[in-house]
Amino acid sequence: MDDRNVRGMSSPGMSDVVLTCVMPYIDDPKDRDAISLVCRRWYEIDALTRKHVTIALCYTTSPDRLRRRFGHLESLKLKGKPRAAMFNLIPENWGGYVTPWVTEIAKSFDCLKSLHFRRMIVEDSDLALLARSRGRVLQVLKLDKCSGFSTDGLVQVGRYCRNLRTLFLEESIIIEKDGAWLHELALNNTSLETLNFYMTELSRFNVQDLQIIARNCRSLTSVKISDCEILDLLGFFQHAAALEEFGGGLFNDEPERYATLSFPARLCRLGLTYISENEMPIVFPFASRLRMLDLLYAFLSTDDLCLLIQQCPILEVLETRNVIGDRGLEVLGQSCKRLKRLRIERGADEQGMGDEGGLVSQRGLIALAQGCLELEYLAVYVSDITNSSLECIGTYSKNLCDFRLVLLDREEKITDLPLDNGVRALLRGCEKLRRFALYLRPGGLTDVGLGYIGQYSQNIRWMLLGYVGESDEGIREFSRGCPSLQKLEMRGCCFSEQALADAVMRLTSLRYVWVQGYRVSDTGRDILAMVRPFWNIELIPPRRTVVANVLNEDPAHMLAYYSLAGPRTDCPDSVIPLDPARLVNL
Amino acid sequence: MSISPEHSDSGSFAGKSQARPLEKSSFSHTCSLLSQYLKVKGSLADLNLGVSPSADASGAPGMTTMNLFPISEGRADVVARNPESRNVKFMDLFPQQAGFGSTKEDVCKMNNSSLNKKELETAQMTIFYAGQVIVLNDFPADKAKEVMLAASEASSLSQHVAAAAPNSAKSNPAFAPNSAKNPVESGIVVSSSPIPVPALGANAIQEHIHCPTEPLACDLPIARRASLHRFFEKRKNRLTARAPYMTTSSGSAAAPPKPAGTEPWLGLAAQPTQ
Repeated sequence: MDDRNVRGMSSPGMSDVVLTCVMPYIDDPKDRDAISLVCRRWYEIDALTRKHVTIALCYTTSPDRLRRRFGHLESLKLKGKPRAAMFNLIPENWGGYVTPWVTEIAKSFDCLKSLHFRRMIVEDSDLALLARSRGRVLQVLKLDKCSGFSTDGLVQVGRYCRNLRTLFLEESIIIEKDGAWLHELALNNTSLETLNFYMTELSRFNVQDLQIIARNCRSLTSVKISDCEILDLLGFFQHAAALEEFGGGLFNDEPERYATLSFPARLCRLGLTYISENEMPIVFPFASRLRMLDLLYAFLSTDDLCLLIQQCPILEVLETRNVIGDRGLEVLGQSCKRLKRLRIERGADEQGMGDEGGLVSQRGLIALAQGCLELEYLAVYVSDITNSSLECIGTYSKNLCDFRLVLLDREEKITDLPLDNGVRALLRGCEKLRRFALYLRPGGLTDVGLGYIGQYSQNIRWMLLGYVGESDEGIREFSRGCPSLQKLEMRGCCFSEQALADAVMRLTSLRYVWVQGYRVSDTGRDILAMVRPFWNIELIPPRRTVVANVLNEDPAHMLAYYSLAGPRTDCPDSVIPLDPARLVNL
Repeated sequence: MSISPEHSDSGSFAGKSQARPLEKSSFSHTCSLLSQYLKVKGSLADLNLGVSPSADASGAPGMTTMNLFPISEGRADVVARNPESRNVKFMDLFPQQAGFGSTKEDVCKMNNSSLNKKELETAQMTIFYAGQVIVLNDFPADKAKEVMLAASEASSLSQHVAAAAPNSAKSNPAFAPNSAKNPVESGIVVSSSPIPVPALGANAIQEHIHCPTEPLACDLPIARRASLHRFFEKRKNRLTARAPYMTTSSGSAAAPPKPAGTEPWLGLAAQPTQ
């Protein structure tokens, strides 16, 4: 682009003034991207006015590049480890260190108010630097499924980030030294709106500090905590008048003692961990105003769940395990007409854990689809499935934009496989789908079915496929479609390296692919067909891992992604980067 | 592998766009067309955007107004008028430009290399040959044609393909800096596991990659979410460690055992109470 164009842009056709007036109203990142590609002037104005950037993988660019382009950023979301890390499939030291980013942020991002790190390694020194350099302006700090830091780092945050409105630590692995971090927060902060250390192991905090926070922070609307006796929180609940969301807790006392418990009047999003049948009645008085219910970590049976759900007519979000069963889904379909998001996780497999009762199958899915027409998100582990139940979702769930289905491996006999026609009907019916996950078993979807996924996934950007297809022909057919697919994850599929490489080359929008379980070529060299400029390829060789005292064989992974930063330099021994530039043979 | 919530994601930025997939692609499409138009005309001055209808429209009598936000029927018209815009698909070929922190240089480089085709003289060339990957920066277009012609003529000529690379390197800094500095660096990584994966060194791929045919690992267990894993562990401890007279009221990471008899639904698995 030459100067002629820059002058042209300033002509009466469209002045910078007009453009600057319009720009703030364009906040969809895709629209912004399109604008920035029009010409240099538009690129510059976008760069000056862009407020939020999400970097889907921290190795796709560098902090320096980000600063050069978006120096005035107000909000940044940065993701590290592949999603598979949430399932203990990625080595802990895989990478995703925030240090280079925090260094740059401390130095140059003067306007940054909101920072969200997801699945990254954060050290205490990072938190200290961040708190001291950005403490006064930082309003949102999310350490989302992160690891590597201790409560000492959080003390710094509590001390210096006095204007923090959101402190989010959910599912982070935090080394606990003491409870001083919460005390610092309680002493210094009066503007907190969201405090979340849900699903962390933090237990040595003082509930008095929670109470002080509730008293001082008048806008405190959401608090999710780790395991902590609910009866100790009576004072907290009394003071937290604005509270709309509460999660966490623990019921260790005699059931009768919970009868006197009273929750804040505005509470409408709830997730009581370890709640059992005995304590369930404490929810009944305000069940009719509940919009969100997190029962993933509850001790409730199918009957209990049915009883509770029945009393929640305006429920919009429900998270639970498959203990809910088909019966629970039928109750949902009848009682919760406003349901938008439903997540049904896989329960415990062992006997005697209370999860045996519930199984979800086609019966439940059909009842759900017919009853809850506003469903936007459905993630479910099923024990049985049919084509007609998928067709039913395609017919009724017109607002569905995110669908994830895993077929469990417990039942040997599945009523109706392969699911080719059902999957096609679902994809054709649910035109708004943006995310799609299908995890079956050998024989669950033929090559033809895989071709359908390619053909009918016009708008899908993220896909997870497990045990689908029969041969390389399947993925070949698949890769002729999927025009919007940016991120693809595959597990346990039978494709050869060559076919994977070909597919990756053909998927025009693809910028990230993760695969575990594929056919390795004789020489291991076929994967090189994927090599191209700006495309990083990393391999994780097969390993043995121990998760919860169980030894697992973990087959090789392949991760490939576009990057402007070049091959990364912080790979641990378990990760082998393929560096095309170094493959040159002179 | 299984299900992830990513609630925050969908909540924060997908919500708005979900409702209008077609509109959005049309927006990017329009921006792309506009970009192409600018490349050809050099300026927006020729565009009557409805902002200033006076001078420009009369100055270019032959021009029809370009609709910046065409609905799908309008698109054909725009495309037909501007032959360059047939190439709109090209934007998709560089998806890393979208959303990642690309810089001005990148955008300009992209523009230069693909839009101004007539001015294009050199570009990067990547050759896959006998397991080797050769990346040539600033490779002249006419040379590239020769190479490709030679390659397509006969497979016996492939020796010349490899030979062509160093020649062209004379006039251009052809090889990536890394490799130029360490032309014979060899870093062989051998997997310690029984099933080796490609262990790639700098200059000896053929010799060192050895990977026996591996039967597909078809028995990958369905992975469980780490958070649920932890929860089930705690729950199990709660059940098995449960003993009489053990009551604690303070929170504890290990979810201390409940007093016996408060979980009747678990009665089948319960230990006898004192």
